[in-house]
Amino acid sequence: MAEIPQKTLVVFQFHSTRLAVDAEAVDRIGNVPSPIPEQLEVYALHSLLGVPDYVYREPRLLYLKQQGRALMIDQLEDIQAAAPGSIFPLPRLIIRLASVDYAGWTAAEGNEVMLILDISGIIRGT
Amino acid sequence: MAEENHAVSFDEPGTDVCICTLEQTLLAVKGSYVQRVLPCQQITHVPGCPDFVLGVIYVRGNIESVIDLRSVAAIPKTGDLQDGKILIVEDERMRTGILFDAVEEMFRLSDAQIEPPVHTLPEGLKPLVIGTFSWHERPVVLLDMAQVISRICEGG
Repeated sequence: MAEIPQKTLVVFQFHSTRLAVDAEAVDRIGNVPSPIPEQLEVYALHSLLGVPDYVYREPRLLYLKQQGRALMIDQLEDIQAAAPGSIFPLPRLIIRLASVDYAGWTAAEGNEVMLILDISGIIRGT
Repeated sequence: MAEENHAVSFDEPGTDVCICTLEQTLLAVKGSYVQRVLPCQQITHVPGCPDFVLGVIYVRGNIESVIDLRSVAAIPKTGDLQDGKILIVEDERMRTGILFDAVEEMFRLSDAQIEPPVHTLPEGLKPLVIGTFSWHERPVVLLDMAQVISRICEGG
């Protein structure tokens, strides 16, 4: 198995699932402006995950390092380093069946698994 | 342990099977597919997956997917499967956990004990069945795991 590098993660919640993105892909975190500037392409998490009726409780924008793009997330929880020994490959079945691009790895704390979104894959796929 | 009349000599053609309960139906999985049996534990939901994917679990250094076979095999649901057992199955295409109500027993089944599937099986289940056999005078459905895994890989 290829070595998985240590990562810093931006962690947030969607329904009751903890999700994260690699902090390397994020330039800054901000509130959702109203209106959203036309030149900003926003990827809404609920749309990526195929949950059309989702109501955001505490929406935030993750402005990506790729200029002009942002990911709208909900319930920002933490920015944390994935602890050594807590990173594991995501099952092939999930990679195969998921409609959203998850990274090929995930992080676990105790029995709780945190799913990592692949920002590059999301941008490529849209 | 299996009843004495189920015991099969290893010289006879036969198959190791793991008998599980799902919605009061006895289902058998060939032992060659079974990797582990785990108690049910916290399952992390994975947004964006088909409904039959219950989520993922952490098991001693591995992340395993867990599926609900009822949705794959068109078995009517009467409620959530809680306090069940997770059977980790694997072939060259895929590895996943399947959540059952219970895992009853593993024993060697003689090929001669296997009979054709009964006609009363749910339509969605029929293509996933090799045959049936009797265990403690109860009918058991022997799953065709190659077909089950194919259906899972195709998204149910």
